Amino acid sequence: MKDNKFRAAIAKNPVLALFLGACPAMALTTGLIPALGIGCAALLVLVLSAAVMSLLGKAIPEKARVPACILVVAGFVSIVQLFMNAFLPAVYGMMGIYLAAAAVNLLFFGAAEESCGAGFGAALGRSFMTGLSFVLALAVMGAIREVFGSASIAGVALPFLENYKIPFLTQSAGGFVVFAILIAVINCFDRGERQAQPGFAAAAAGLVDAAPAGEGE
Amino acid sequence: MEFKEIMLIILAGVLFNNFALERFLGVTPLLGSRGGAGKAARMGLAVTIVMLVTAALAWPLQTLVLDKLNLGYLQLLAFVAVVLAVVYLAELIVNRAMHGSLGVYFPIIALNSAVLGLAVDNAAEGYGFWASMAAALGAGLGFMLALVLFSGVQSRIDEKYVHRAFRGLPVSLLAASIMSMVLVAFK
Repeated sequence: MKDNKFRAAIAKNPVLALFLGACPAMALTTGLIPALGIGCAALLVLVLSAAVMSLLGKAIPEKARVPACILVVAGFVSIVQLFMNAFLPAVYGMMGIYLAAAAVNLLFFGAAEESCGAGFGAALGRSFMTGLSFVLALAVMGAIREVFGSASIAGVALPFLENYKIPFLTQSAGGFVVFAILIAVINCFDRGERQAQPGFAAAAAGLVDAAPAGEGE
Repeated sequence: MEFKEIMLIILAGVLFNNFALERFLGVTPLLGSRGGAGKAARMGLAVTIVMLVTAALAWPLQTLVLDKLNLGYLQLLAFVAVVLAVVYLAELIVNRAMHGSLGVYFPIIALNSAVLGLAVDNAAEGYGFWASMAAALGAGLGFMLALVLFSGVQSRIDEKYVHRAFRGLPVSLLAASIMSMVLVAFK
């Protein structure tokens, strides 16, 4: 669908990965446990679909790649869903419809498409790193929102914070704010970001707004 | 199905249950879109139409096939296939009829979690046919509203100086947060 520049950017640019996975990153970080749940599910789906797509990549014709990637990702999301329902029903209950909605997530799709035709080891490594940084970011966000939003951590109450909690952080609007601050902090520390910012905008516009450049109004 | 109930489902979808701003479904295309209000409205219209057709197909699939044959575990794959089929058909029709003026949006609609989320949500809520159509209309219009409003906000942000750390995504997220707070007021 898009040029290679974009695909290479996902693995290198943690902000881009967070942006593409924005839906679960904000919806499921009201607590540490759902954040870790969706993070680990994402890691599994990323690695498994990258493995399959790197093996099948050459066999699938160029035109059928987009639907093939989407269906492979959806298949692995279904598998993770069934496993989670069987072994971690409490966590599965917290996921709501977001685990299902992740089947068409741009992060998974991008990683799967990136793996088409790539070497097996390289595809695995890249998607594992993407998934790992996604889990880390989600865990940080979930911890922040749970500790300061509902004065507990992983479901265990923190009584000394009870009087200072900010329920706003557990709402949707609070999710946007915490996500914004997290990305701003990453931007601050990432020195290479000066180069990456225009690229980020172009890549985001490339995949998210699939209109070719120069179309517009 | 009562008229009042239908209206309530539509209003909920547009305002306080807004897919992009309250439930984060389809928030990535919202944050990533660039262009004026006209482009946003066309994109929103395309999403609304795809949502209506998907909901109309997903309901009989769920009640007549998946529930009858005890194939609930295939729900996600079946719905993804429906969304893909609808999007590709719509792309074909639009390319014939309108010479592709809308067609460029279709790959992102297939990858829009709002469309799939709507189908899964309708099944989870156990809506009847007309209720799920109402939910689709509400969700589509709500997505269009969010896109159009956000395109205005975005064009204002693009004119201003923003600190390096907040440039790009973070400042858009903060704007979205304020819009989300406005919608909570309708609850």
